[in-house]
Amino acid sequence: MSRKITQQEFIILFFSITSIALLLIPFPKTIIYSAEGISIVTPGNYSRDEFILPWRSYDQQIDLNLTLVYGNLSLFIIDREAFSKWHQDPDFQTYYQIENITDTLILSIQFNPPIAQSMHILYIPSEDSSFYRELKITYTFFHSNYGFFFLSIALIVGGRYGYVKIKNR
Amino acid sequence: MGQIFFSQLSQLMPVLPLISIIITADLVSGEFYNRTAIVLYSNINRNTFIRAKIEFLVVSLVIYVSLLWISLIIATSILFHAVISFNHLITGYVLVFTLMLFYVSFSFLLSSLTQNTFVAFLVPFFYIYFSDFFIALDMELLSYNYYRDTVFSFFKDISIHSNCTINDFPLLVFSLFMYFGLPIILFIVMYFEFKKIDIRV
Repeated sequence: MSRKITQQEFIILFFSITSIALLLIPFPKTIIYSAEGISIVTPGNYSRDEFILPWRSYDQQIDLNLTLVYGNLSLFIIDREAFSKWHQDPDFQTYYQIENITDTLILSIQFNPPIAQSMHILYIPSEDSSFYRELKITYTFFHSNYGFFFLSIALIVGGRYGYVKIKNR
Repeated sequence: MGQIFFSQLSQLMPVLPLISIIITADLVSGEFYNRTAIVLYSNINRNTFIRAKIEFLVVSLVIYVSLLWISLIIATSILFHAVISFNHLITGYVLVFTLMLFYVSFSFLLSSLTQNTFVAFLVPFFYIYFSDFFIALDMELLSYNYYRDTVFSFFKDISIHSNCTINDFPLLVFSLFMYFGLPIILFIVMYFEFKKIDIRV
């Protein structure tokens, strides 16, 4: 015997399916920082690119195309924690570092930070330097926040629906 | 001048929706509270009734936004000795009217669904002031303020600078759709929900 689905059941089904899809289907994302002219840095200063990796993100990859016009640069890829320690502690943990860059650098690295956080790419000169860069960040992530939000709606409505059903039995 | 006009508007943004909630919150629930619903709904066709309510809301908003605009024009001419261009006035009028229409439809829907003035006022009230919470949690698509900011900055760039750099075209289209479409969707949902109201409550 077929039964017409009620409005409340439809809401529960819709939010359950949507939340499961959002929690389980990975979405690719690409962020491109285009070259915005030449940056000039002097010793004692630094230039920085910052990007945020969401939680439950995987296969993070950085593609960097750095061209040094003149000078000498060191490049560090560090997380938020290392960035806050960086000024006080010289032994900060890096995901990647390369020193004495004097020419063009084409870099493609994959890494996997343990938690969601902001990442920093530091360009530190050892002499007056000028450079321009093109940066591409790609990763796969899940819309976890949306997923849990929709799941909580499904649970609240479902809980109320179940409670009323049991009460009326 | 356009810059000043839009900065004045952005300062008014947190206050404007509050007025639309105040005029809407007890539009349906008030009738249940006053016990007039059973008399009115059994004698008058519900379609006529809902049409009259929507007309009342739209006319109220038109009057309210028009009065606001007249006071803005007067204030600008007195304070800055300047005249706001017609393009800015029309653009701002449509955007502010749509913003208020959203909160009207939201509050109206809740008033119909719950028949409780307190809920119909409080939920949109919290949504106005705490929807930035969604942005902080990377759930900006659930925040109407996010669409508002995207649409406002787009029209501001067009009307002031006559050009606009679009970083994310699909997002802009979606924001435009949500900003202008959501009030209509809420009114349609409310229309069907209104017909289901049990007047014996």
